[in-house]
Amino acid sequence: MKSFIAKTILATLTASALFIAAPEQANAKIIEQERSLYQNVYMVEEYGMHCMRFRKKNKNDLSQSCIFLDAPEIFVFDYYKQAMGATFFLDDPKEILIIGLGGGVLANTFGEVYPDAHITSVEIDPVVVKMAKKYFDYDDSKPNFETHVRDGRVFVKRALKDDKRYDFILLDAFNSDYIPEHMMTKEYLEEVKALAKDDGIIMANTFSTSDLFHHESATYAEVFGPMYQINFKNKKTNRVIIVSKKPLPEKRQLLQKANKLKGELLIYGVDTLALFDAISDEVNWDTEAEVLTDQYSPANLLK
Amino acid sequence: MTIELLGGKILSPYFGGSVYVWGSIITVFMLALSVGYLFGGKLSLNNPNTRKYGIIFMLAAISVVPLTMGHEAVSEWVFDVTDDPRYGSLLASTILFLIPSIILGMVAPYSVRLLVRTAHSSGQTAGFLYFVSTLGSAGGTLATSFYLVLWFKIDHILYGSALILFTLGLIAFFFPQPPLSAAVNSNEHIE
Repeated sequence: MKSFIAKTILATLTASALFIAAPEQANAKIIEQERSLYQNVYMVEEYGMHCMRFRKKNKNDLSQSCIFLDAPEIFVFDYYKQAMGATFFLDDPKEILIIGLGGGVLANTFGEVYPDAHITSVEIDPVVVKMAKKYFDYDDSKPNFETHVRDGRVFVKRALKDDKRYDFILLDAFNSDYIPEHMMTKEYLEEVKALAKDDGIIMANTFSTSDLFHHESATYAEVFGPMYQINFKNKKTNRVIIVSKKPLPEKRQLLQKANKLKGELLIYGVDTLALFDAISDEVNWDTEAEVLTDQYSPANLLK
Repeated sequence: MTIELLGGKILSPYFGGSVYVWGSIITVFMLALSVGYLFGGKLSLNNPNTRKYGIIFMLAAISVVPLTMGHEAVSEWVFDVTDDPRYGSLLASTILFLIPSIILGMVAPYSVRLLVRTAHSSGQTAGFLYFVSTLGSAGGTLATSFYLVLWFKIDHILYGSALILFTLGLIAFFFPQPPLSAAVNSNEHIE
């Protein structure tokens, strides 16, 4: 336990150092790069981590996959931790769908937390899948994992037609440079909602800054009604949205789960009580903001 | 170009935003324009005048209306019949964009015919027309991708384009100019 705490502290320090020193890029070393149909994918080794990024020089550290080389289980980013807040809402999900695999960190973690679950991941970029397997221990040869190289929206539409339904759907198809505008709209969220089982939970990792925050929140509220947001205070980066088909439990009902999962999630560097505190049902967006639709979705211009 | 750019937004909910969706759209537009150029050239042989020229514009405008009203139903249907997003997007683009782009393609050669005075100056006239039409394309591309999608819904932009085309057609129709003189220079919106 002691060495674990030491590891956690070390990891946290490294992570903070990363954010402070990011513009310098002094220690960053590109270990592999490949041009895909969609982007340049760079694997970088820096500050004792492997990171996947889509630009050589990154302006901000949002939404890239990173893992610590000597402590791969400990989350590098807050948004991974925020995403684990979904576990408070879940009861042993059997079918999990992840739209936007990235490095596969969340796919792997949910696979560990729910070993009985079948995890279907959708990723548009085959090079990203390749890097996830090579550097992030994503292994879809395991019987409970499957990967589809496909546009997320096309997958969702097709899965609906094929009558597939999921207990937990995780939407994570954005990187900080470009937002697929057809995956931000009311129509898309309605399709996702239909793809969830009646008590299914939908989680989205999205933006907490810029105009888009208001439009996006208004769109989720329009489709799902009340929602929870998970955002560590004073961290103006990503936020996680939790919504469901049926009404979500009251916040105090989640505390029991937070306590129960305390030990299990500590391995990943997640403090479930801090996470519980970060959950909010406050309406903190401009409710007058225009809802994004297939007809109106200039997400990249609003960013 | 306005319609071409919106084509991506129309098809992406069904076929994704991948490079092959753009490939399908551009292929169909290029094919349609090439056919349109041929038809337009052929049509200009037969007693060319700005009334007919105006009719081409109005037909183009009218052809945009079913595209706008039917793109969801068409995409839905194509999504049902094929699960390959490449051929799906190609089929949907063909159904949606082929006819309007053929008609719009007819404008260019017809304009050449109306504007050319002598064989001597024909190259210059054609060059000027290419200049105007390509500049218009650049303007349409920029306006659509930077601003129009931020201000309006896709269908409203399409109806707006149809309205502009129709108005230009009406002007050409009701204020006819004899050929071999400077006719209405109203082809900013082609392609």
